[in-house]
This record gives sequence, structure tokens and C-alpha cells, in this order.
Amino acid sequence: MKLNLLPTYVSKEKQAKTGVVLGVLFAVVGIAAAVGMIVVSKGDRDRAFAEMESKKPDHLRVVAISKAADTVITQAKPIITNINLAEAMTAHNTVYADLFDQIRQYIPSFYRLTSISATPASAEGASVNLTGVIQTQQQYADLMLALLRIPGAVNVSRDGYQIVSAQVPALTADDQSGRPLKPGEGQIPDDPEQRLNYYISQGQLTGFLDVSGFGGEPGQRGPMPDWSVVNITVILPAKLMTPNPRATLASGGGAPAPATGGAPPAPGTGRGGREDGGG
Amino acid sequence: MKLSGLTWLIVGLSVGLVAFGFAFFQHKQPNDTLAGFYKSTAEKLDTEIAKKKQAENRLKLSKEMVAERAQKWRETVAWRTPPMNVNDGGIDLDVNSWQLTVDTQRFRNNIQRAVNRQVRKGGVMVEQGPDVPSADLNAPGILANYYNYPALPYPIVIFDLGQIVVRGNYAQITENIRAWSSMPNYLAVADGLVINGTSPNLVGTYNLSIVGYIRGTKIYPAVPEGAGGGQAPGAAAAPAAPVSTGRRGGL
Repeated sequence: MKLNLLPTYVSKEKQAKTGVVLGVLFAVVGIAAAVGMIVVSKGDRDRAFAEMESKKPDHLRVVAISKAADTVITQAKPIITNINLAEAMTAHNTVYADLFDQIRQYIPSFYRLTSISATPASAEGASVNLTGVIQTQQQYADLMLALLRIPGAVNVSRDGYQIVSAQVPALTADDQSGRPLKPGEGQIPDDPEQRLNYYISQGQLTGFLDVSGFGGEPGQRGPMPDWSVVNITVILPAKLMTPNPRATLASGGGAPAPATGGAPPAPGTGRGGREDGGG
Repeated sequence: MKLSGLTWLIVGLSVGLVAFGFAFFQHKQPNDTLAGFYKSTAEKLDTEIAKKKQAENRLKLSKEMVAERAQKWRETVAWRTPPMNVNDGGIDLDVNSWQLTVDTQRFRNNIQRAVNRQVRKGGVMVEQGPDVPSADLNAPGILANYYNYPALPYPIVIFDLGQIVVRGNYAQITENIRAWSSMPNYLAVADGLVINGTSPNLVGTYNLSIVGYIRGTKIYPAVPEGAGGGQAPGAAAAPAAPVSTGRRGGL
């Protein structure tokens, strides 16, 4: 067993000294770290700021170039609007004729056209309406296939064909044979005498009928007897939207026509202007 | 009173932590945030600066495009706008409005002649031709009513001439509508072509609009017209010498 014979204040003084030394050490380290952080972070901040500032002149030069491009376009907008409108108007005069020329190549010879028109369905699409006459139901079917060959044709629809071909009827007491009948015809009796009377009753003038504009003055010829008027609608890509000069110019665009037809007015002297699409 | 070693230790540690905390929260953190912002801004500036070549190209292209458009416009003006005086078939707006009502009637007739010439192109027979509207005798209102000024930025005649009906074969009708693209002195747009009939006796129907940009540099000031109201002496009604109006654009 060991005995500590030193007075108690001796160990406490030693502890106090150690505590003071450590306390001061912690305080100094903390303060030194604080000062270091302040100095270093401020230095970083100042360097970053200086770097950013050094790039600003170059950036301003690029912005100025970009703005100059915008200014060139903005100031010329009236001229651009006018020439775009003029070109759109000029180009539009041929679009219908060109479209009809394109479609005509695909119209089969058995479909005799009596009317062709087109309307814009959207900015990029058009609906072409054809009216004409055909003779048979087979042609009615073939016509669709023929028109679907039009490049870009999205849809082809039809209506108007009247069935005139003979159909086999159901049997009746008088007709045990089921001879084919055209629409509107009564059944043909089997009895020879009744059949003769039936044919006699069906007799009619077989000469020139003078229908649908055939004969007389030149003009539109309609369907011949047993032919049908058929309407076709073709949906296809085509730009038929018409330029609207008044709306385009009223939207604020437009450069004046120069007095001499020579140099255009200085850009920016017109009254502002946004293009209305100009067609 | 004597402080114990532990107390000194805690005091020193506290002082150190307070100093550290102060520096961190009051300086380092804000400085780091700012430095980060400056760096990101600098990076963005770098990105923009890298577009310099692109911006220069854009400026060059813009100038070229504008020059090309301006040249086209000059060419268009040269042959798609009416002449600058009445005797040549055009109009001069730098005359008093009373005279302008007279000149406009002549101008209208000249437009009608031009349209009549044009509508026969292709060899068609015209069944329903366009009728160019006449101007009324209201002198003060003639600029607004007939020349659409100042509703539009500059004087311009716009006529929606309605439906045109021509007769001919397919080639004649399509040539007729195409020919509006080359009408001299005016811009025309034909729209909505419908062809009916049995070839070669076809009827073509379409709508027509005519636009005429009026050339000039000055417009005569407004003049008074009509009785009853009267003008106080000195009112700004009497016609003055021709002056340039506030119109911009160098008309």
C-alpha cells in the first residue's frame, strides 16, 4: 500500500496550471483558426470577384454584338414585312393552278370532272373537292385507288354513286327464275305471255334523250343516263392560306415605298412593325 | 478566489469556439457564398463570351439578310408600285385634298384600266370583272378612306375586289390566275380558284385583292370641307403651303 504524504493543495495547483495552459492553448488555437478563416475566405472572395469583373468587358462586347444583330433585324422589320408580303402575294397566285396541275395527273380518264376546287384545311393542309361523273360501280372503287396515288394524300372520301346495275331478286310466285333486275324494275314473270306483256310495258323511246346538257349550246355536261355524279374529297398537304395584306400591314409592319424606287429608307424610320405572317 | 484547472480549460475552450464560430458564421460562410456566386457568374460570363463568334456570325448574317431583303424590296418597288404622278397613271399625294379628290378619280380609272388589262391575260373571256371602288368627294377624309392613312403607317390602297369569273379552257384559266403574279405597278393576290364545266368550256372563279404602295415624300396637310361648323379665325384649318407631315419613313 502506497501512502500520499503530500498536502492536497500540491496536486490541485498542478491541475490548475495544466488547466490554464490547456485553456489558453484552446483559446489561441480557436482565435488563430478564426483569423485564418477570415483571411483565407476574404482572399478567395476577392479573387473570385476580381475574376468575374475581369470577364465583364468581354461579355459586354458580346452582348453589344448580339444587340447590334437584333437592332439590324428590328430596324429592317418594316422592309422585311413588306417584301415578305409581296413575295407571299406573288407566290400565292400560282398555288391553286399548281395544285390542280398536280392532281390532274392522277385523275383517271373514266372520271369526267365537272368541277374542281380547293380550300385550306390548315396552314399545311388542304381539302380538294372534285365533282365528276362515272359509269360503273367498279369505276367508283377504282377511282379511290387512283386518287390515293396522289403524293401525300392523307384521306380520300367519296359519295354520290347511284347503283344502277341489275340485282338478282328473291323468288316470287310469278317469278321462279330470279332474273336480275335494275333498280325500279318490276319482277319478270315466268309465264311467257305475261313476260311478253311485261316487256311491252317496259318499251320506251330509245332515241336522243337531251338530258344533262348534251346537245345544244356548249356548256357543262352532266351525267349520261345510268351515270352518276360523284363527289370526291382529297385531304393532302398544300399551303393554301392566303396572305392578308390589310392585316399584315395593320399589324404595324411595313416600310414605305421609297420615292425613287432606289435606296430604301433608312432602317428604323418606319413605324415599328411586326410581321403578321404575311402569308 | 482561485479557479480550478477545469474551469480554465472550459473558459479557454469556450473562447476558442466563440472566435471560431464568429469567424465561420460571420465571415467564412458569407464569403464562401459570395465567392461561389462570383465563380458561377464568371462561368456564365465565360459561356456567353464563348458565343462571341456565334454573335459575330449572327450579326453578319443579319446584315446580309437585311441587305438581300432590301435589295428585293427595291426591285419590287421599281415595278410593283404605281407611278408617282397622275399623268403617268399613278398618284401624287403632295397636292391639296380638293385636288386630290380629282386626281384620285383619275388614279382610280388608271387602276381600273390596269386591272382590266390584267384580267384578260391568258386569253380568257371575262364574264365578271373586278370593279375598282371610287373615292368620294370628301376631301378631308380622302387620305383616311381611300389611302388608309394614317390607319396604316403610310398611304396604301388596298382593294378587295371580290369574285372574278372568267371563261376559257383549263390552260387559259390557269394562265390567267398565274398572270396576277406579274401585274405591273401593283401587287395582286388571287385566291380560291374554282373551275367548273366540261372541258374545253370551263368557267373559272376566284377572288382578287389589289395592293398599291404609294410612293412619295410628302403629304399635303388636311383641308376643311363642309358648311355649318365654321372655323374660328386663326383655327388650323386653312391650307398651308405643302409641308412634310409627321410621317416617318421617308415617303
